[in-house]
Amino acid sequence: MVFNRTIYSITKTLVLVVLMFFVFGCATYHDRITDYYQRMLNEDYVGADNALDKNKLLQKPRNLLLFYMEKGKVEHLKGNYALSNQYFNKADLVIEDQVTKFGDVMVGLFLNSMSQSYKGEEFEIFMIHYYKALNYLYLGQSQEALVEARRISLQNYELGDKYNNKTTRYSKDAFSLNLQGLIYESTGNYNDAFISYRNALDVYQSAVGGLYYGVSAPQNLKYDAMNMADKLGFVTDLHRFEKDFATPFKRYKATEGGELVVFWENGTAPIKEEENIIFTLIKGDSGALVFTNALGVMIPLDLGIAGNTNLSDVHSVNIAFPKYIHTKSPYASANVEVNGSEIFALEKVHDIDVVAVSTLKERAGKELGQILTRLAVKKAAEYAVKSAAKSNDNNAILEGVGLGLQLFNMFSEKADTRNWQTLPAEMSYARIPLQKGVNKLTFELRKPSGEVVKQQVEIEANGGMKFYNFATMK
Amino acid sequence: MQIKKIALAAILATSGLFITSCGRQVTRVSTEETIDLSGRWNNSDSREVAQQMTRQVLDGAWIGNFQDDNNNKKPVVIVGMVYNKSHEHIDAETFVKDVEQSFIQSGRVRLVQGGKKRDELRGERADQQTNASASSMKQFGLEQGADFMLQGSINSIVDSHKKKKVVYYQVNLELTNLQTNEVVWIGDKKIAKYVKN
Repeated sequence: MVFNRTIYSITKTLVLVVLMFFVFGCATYHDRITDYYQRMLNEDYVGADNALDKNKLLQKPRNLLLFYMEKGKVEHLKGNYALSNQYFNKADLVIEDQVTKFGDVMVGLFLNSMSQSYKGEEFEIFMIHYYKALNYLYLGQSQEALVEARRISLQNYELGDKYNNKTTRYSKDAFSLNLQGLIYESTGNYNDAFISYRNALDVYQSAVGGLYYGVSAPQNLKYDAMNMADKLGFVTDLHRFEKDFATPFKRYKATEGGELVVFWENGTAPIKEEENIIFTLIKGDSGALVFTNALGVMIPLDLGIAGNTNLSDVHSVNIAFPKYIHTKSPYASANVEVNGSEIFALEKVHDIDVVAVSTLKERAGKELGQILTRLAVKKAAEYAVKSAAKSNDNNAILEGVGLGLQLFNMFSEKADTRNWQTLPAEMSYARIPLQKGVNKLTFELRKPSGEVVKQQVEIEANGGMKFYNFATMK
Repeated sequence: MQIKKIALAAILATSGLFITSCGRQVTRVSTEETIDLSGRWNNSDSREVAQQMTRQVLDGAWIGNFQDDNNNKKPVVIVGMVYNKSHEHIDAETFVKDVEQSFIQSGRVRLVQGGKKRDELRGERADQQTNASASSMKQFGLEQGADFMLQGSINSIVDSHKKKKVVYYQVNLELTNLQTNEVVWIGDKKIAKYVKN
C-alpha cells in the first residue's frame, strides 16, 4: 500500500515535470511578440527587425509563415522593396507547398492547434499579393506585378471552389480584384483591367445590401469599370453600368503627369485572444450527441474524429477558442489635397477588421465541432484509465497515468491565437491626377475626436499610373 | 481489458482523420490529353480553339481570291486585338500564336509583326540610325504593309443554379481587308461545359 502511494506520487511529479516542457503557460501569441509589435507601432523599424530576429517563438518551424510575413512587412516599411519581396516570396512558397503532415495533425489532436503549423488566414494571403505587387511596382518591375495580378485570380478561384462561390461565405476577395484591375490598368492591359473591375463590382452587387464585409462598392471602382468599358468600346457594358449606378459616364481628361493611386493603411488588424467556453455533451432532439453551451449554441459531434469512441462518461468539456479583439484605429477618415488645389476623399476599400471577425465566425461551427470532439475523446481516454485503475484494486500506475492524462488535457488546451497582427485594420484609397514634375500632396488625417493631423509628401510624376502607400498604425 | 479500451479510444480518435502523409506527386501528361479539373478555361480549350481556327483559316476562300486579284501575290496578315469579354482572364495569345504559326508553316500567307513587338523593332531601327555601320543600318519606311488584319473576341455565358453550372465560351476570329474594310473570313469555336459540384 505504502509502496503504491510512493509510486503514485513519483508518477505525479514526473507527469508534472514532463508537462512543464509541453506547456508554455497561458501567454497568447500577441503577448509573446509584443516587443516586436510595440516597436512597429512606434515606427522603429530597425528595432522591430532586430526583435523579429530574436523572437524565439517566430523562429520555430511551425511559425515560419508568420515570420516571413512580418519580415516582408518590416522591410516594405523600411523601403527595402527587393528584400521585402524575398521574404514575401518565401511566405508564398510556404503557403503553396503546404502538405498536411501526419505529425502536424497528431499534434493538433493531442496537444492543441497552436502547436500546429500556421497556415495563414485567407485574407492574409491576399495581402501578401498586395505588398508583393506594390514592391514590384516600386521597383519598376511591371511584368512581375502582373504575375501577382494573375496569382490573385488563382487565389480567388481557390477560395470560390472552397466555398462553392456561396454569397454567404468569404468566397471572393473584392479588394484584391480591385487591386488586380489597377495593376492591369497601370500596365496598359485595359481589357484585363475591365474584367477585374467588373468582377470586383459583381461581388459588391451580389452582396446583401451591397455591403461586402463592411465595404460597399467604392465610387472609384464604379468609375474605373465604366472608364475601361469606354476605352475598349464595350458600349453595352458601359450603358449597363450607367443604368446600374444611375450615373452618366463622363470622360475624364488625363493630366500630363498621369495619375497616382494612393493606398492608406489605417490602424492594426485585430488581435486574437483566448476565450474559454464550457460545453456540455447532451443528446439532441434527433438522439444524436451534440455539444451545447450556456448560450444554447448546438455543435454536432464530429464523427470523423470521434469514430466509435464511447463518450457516455463525458459530460462537459472546457475549451479554449480564439476570439478577435479590435485594436483602436488612430484615424477615422482622411482627405488628400493636391498641389494646394483639388481635394480628394480617401474611400474605404478593405475592412480587415470585419473580414477577420466574420470569417472566424463563419468557420467557428466546424472548428468548434472538431476541437470539442477531440477533447471529448481525450476525456473519454482519461475516464477509461481512471475506471481501469479502480477496477484493478486502485492500481497506482494506472492512477498516475489517469492523473497525468487529466493534467495534460487541462494544460495542453490552448487556442490558436496566431495571426498577422501588423496588417492594417482598414484600407482606403484614392486616384489623384498629377501634374508633370513635382506634386505636393497633403494628407489630412482626421482623428475620431475631430482633430486633424497633416502629413505632406512629394511625388514626382511624368505620365502614366503610379502607386503610393502609407501606414498609420498608431 | 481496460487498457485495450484506452488504446482503442486513441486509435479511433486518430483513425477518423483523413491524413495524407505522402508528399506531393507530379506526373507529366501529354499536352493533347484533356483533363478537366475546375470547369474554368484551360489548356484543352485553348488547344481546341487553336486546332479549329488554324484549320478554318487556311481552308478559307480568301487566300485564293486575293491571289486571283493580285497576280498570285501571297496575302500579308497582321494580328490585331483579340478582345476578352468573358468572365475570366483568358490569354488569347495561346491560340493566336498557333494561328500565326500555321500561316507561316503553310507558306501561303505572310505575317508582319504588330503591337508591342513592332514598337520594339522600330526602336531598334531608330537606334541603328546612330549606332550601326552605314552598310548594316536598316532603313525607315520599308516595312511590309499588311493586306489583312486578324481580330477577334472571346465571349462567355455562365448559367448557374445551386450546385450546377453551365459555362459557354465562344471565340471568334475574323480577317478584314485593310484596304476595303471587307470582312473576308470569320472563324468561331464554341465550347460548352456542364459543371456539377
